[in-house]
Amino acid sequence: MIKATDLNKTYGKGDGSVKALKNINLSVNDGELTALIGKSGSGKTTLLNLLGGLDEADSGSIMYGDTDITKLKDSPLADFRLNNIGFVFQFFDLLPELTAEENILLPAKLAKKKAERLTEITDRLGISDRLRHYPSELSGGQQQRAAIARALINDPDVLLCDEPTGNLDAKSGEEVMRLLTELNREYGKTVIIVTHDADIAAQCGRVIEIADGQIIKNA
Amino acid sequence: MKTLFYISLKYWRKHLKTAFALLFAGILMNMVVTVSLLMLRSSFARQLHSDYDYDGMYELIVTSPSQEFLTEISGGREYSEGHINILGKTGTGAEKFTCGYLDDPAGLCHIPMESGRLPQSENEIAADRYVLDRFGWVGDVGDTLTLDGVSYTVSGIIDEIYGLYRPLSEISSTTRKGMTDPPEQPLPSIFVGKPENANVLYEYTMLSGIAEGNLYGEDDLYIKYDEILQKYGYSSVSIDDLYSTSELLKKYATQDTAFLLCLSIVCMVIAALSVFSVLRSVIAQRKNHDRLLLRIGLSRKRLAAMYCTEGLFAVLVQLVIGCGAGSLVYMAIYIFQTELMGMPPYSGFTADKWVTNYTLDPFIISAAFSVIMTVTAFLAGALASKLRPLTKKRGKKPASLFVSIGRVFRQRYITVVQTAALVLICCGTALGYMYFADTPEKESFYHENIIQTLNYTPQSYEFSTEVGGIDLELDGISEYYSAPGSPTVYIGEFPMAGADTEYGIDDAVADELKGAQAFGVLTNTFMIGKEGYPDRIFFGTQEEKDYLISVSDEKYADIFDDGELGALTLDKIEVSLADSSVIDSLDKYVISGSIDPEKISNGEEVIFVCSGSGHLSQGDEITLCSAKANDYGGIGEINSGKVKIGAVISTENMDNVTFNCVKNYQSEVSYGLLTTVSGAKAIGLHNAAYTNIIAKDGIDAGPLTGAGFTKTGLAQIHTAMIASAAAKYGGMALIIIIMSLLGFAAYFNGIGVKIRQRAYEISVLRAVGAPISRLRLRLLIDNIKLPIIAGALSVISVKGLQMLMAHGYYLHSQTFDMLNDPSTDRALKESLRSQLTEISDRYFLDRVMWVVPAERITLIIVGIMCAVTILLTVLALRKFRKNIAEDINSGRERQ
Repeated sequence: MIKATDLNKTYGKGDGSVKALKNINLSVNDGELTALIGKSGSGKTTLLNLLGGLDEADSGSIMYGDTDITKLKDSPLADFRLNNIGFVFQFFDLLPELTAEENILLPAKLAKKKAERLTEITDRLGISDRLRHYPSELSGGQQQRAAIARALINDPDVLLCDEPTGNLDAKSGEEVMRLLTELNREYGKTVIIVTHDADIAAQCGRVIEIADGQIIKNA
Repeated sequence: MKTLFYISLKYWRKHLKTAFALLFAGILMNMVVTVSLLMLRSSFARQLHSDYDYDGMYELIVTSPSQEFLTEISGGREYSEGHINILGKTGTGAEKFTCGYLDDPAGLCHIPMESGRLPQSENEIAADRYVLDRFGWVGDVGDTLTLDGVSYTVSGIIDEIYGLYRPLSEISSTTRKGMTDPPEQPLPSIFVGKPENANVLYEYTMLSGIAEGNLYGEDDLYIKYDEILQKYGYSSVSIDDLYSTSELLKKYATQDTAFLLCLSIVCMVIAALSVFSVLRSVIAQRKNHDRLLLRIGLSRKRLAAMYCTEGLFAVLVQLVIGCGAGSLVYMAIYIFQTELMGMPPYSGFTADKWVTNYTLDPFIISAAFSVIMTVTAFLAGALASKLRPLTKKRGKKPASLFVSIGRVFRQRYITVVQTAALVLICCGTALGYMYFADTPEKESFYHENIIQTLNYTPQSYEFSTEVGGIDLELDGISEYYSAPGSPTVYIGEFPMAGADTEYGIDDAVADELKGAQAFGVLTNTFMIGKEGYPDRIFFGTQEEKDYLISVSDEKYADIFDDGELGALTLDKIEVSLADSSVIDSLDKYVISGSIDPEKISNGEEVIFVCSGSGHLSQGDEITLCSAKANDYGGIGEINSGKVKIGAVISTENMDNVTFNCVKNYQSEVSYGLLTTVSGAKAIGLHNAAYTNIIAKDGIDAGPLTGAGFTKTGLAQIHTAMIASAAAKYGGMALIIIIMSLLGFAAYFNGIGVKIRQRAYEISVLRAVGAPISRLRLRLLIDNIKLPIIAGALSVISVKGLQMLMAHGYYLHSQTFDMLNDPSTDRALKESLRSQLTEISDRYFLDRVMWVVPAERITLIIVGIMCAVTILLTVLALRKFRKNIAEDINSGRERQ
């Protein structure tokens, strides 16, 4: 279970500062498929980054079971991310110098794990025949699927997705969403998806709406 | 255009760091070029003027020259004229020295200084060491000297060599004979700052630059000058010397210019590479802007004009800041050289046409280099942006983590720039070290034996801290004073004191010197023969004896017949003198008898000093004598006294300081007598005085004034060592340091740029779980490879160059041997001579720098570079904050 308590985050200093999150309290149960929705600048991506340890909260705690990730230093936090959290970004963020396969295997190699599930995952995601290709040689949908494969390779319990379909055409977007819901359903992964698309939110079991850095709806 | 300027300004304001990285290399390059060429000008001017009569510029100092002479000697050429006012004569003892007021020290810059400078104000004085010694002055530059009741601060000590090289300013002996009141010397031995209302007794005219030496091959001019000088009664000019030295100066000036130009070109290449590497990413970034501007209707012409304006602006900024900073650095070097090192004040900012004609203009060259560098880098950058990226190779298997991350971080262009910069720095610094670690003198040694040549070790310029057997450093002595010893004259082996000594001190003065030990030696002593003593005095042949009798005082006329000496045998024995502080410390070295200071002081007893066993024993009574020569070199007086050997001391296990105080170091024998000056005087020994003083700490040397002592201070030796090292390596070493800094800057800037350009990849890697410590280690491994590769390449390059030079030496040696072969006929010899010159020129063999080992210096540079690489990599990675998401977003923007 992920539990965020009294999370606050402000960007900038002085008069130009922006309070991105204000006293956020949130719990996400294991195996939940949750959508974080809100308008642009509402703070949903900030919340997702804090939940994934990609950003530092000004105050508050984020508990993954018994582990408060806000208390972890760089190395243990990186280690925690490596083994427990998978990220899927809107712009895929595959390293252009590596092939799709090398990108996917990167977390496994960092964790010194054998990538036993590579074939299973890539088959499932339908990119087995594109593994030797560089990101620039793949379509947007293929790149996003490679990014999902990278997020899954270490078999994390949590998948954090920041507008995973935002940069895809409608067909590819639907395909990616289908994959994510299947992963949640079949493998019991906790999936949190940031989106502003109501259709995508409708596919999620739980929808949390954020406005001006505060949760205004949690259903 | 205003809008375009606004767009440019907006872009660069947003990318200040990049702008600084672009300008930095150019600024540093301009700085290096400016400093180098200003120093070359300064050095050339100094060489040209310093040895004024022997090198390029020709100067003349004459007494009240007539208008007729001036007209004839100038021949319509430009020259500057100054007056040197001479006070008159002053003197001490039997010697007279000319003392001159100096109202224009800059006019006498050619006078070589041992330390300090010529006087610049009324209360200052400079003189050569010999003169100062004759005044009994013991001190350093900055101390005071009282002359004819007036106190002066010694501003400098003139090099004694000055007294040897004044031929042009001397009036020829023929003319001197005809003069009713000839001046003692044309230039004085002592210079004092001119008082406001000085009564000038002599006036000399200095004609500076009346000709330009032989730099332009005007031999005939010298012949003409020689004739004019002789006609007006001045000594002649040595045309041969003028010719050869001027040629040498010309050659070195050309070589130095070539060398500095080469180094400057290296600078330019590094700077261009550095600018290119930064520019590549700037151009890539601005491509989108350009596309946008073109879409909204901007013409390509105007876009090009915008970039040209930016380039022009970059050149101007580099030039103004670089040349300005270079001028400031040069001024600092100049002040250091003239004020602290006492070098003649010849500035690189000179309008002297002989200097400006012969050396490159620093600012014009800087501007040219700046334009070439900027244009080349901009063109190369633009060209590189048009190249299609290379097709990536696909491996059969996914790469390992190590290789994968390596590929993510890899940036070929910057790596090539960095490696090139490092190789150039290593080679440049190694060559610079080789150039300045050795003198450019050509010695036959290098041409004769190629193996020796390659095993050559650079000369070390170590200063000895050893004086009179005492090592000031090791023995903990801070000051050593020595005065000329008593002169001893010999007839055969018979010693006699020469003239009465004026130098040295007695026990009363020695007692005043707290914390000091005084000692000396008398070599004019002997003793009445003692049975079994092995060291007899041999009087020489009968002819020598007859001569001695004939020149001796009358009472010694029958000395060898039945008189005093004729009836006796005489033994050699020398007497050391040591003050009570030394005598009191000798108890532990006594091997028989005991030391009674009172009996020693009143001449009843002496101490026998030996290295363990000697030919005299405690209790022996001897007749100790000393003779004094008369004005004719014969015996004028013999004094003698009976003394007892009170104690025998052994020099075995004696510490070095005590040993040097009591031994007869002027004698080859390892034994002698020891007493005090009072004891020696009581016995009647001539010229007894302490002529050496040592002190562990500084002493008040006031009581020594007038006693002829010269001080050697450990601190002064250390200062001289530093000054020597600074003189040898200072100026040009600084240029090499600045140049290396340029390369380093290019290289280290590359480290920063590399990491900045890979910020996105680093952030993505962190997002997927790579800790920063792991990435840091990987980057360190990547970065550290470069200095190591560059070091290896440099060693190979320098070694290759040395091998090429060795080949040159070998060829030279072969040709040289053939030339010296007696069987070689004249025609072949002529051909061989021209071959030798050709080989020498082709391989630069007049510099022995090629044989200086450069491995160690290269290793040091590589070591420094590795250390700084680690530091900078660590520092560059510190910018990665905890906010990985923000880093990814910024990285995406840059992508």
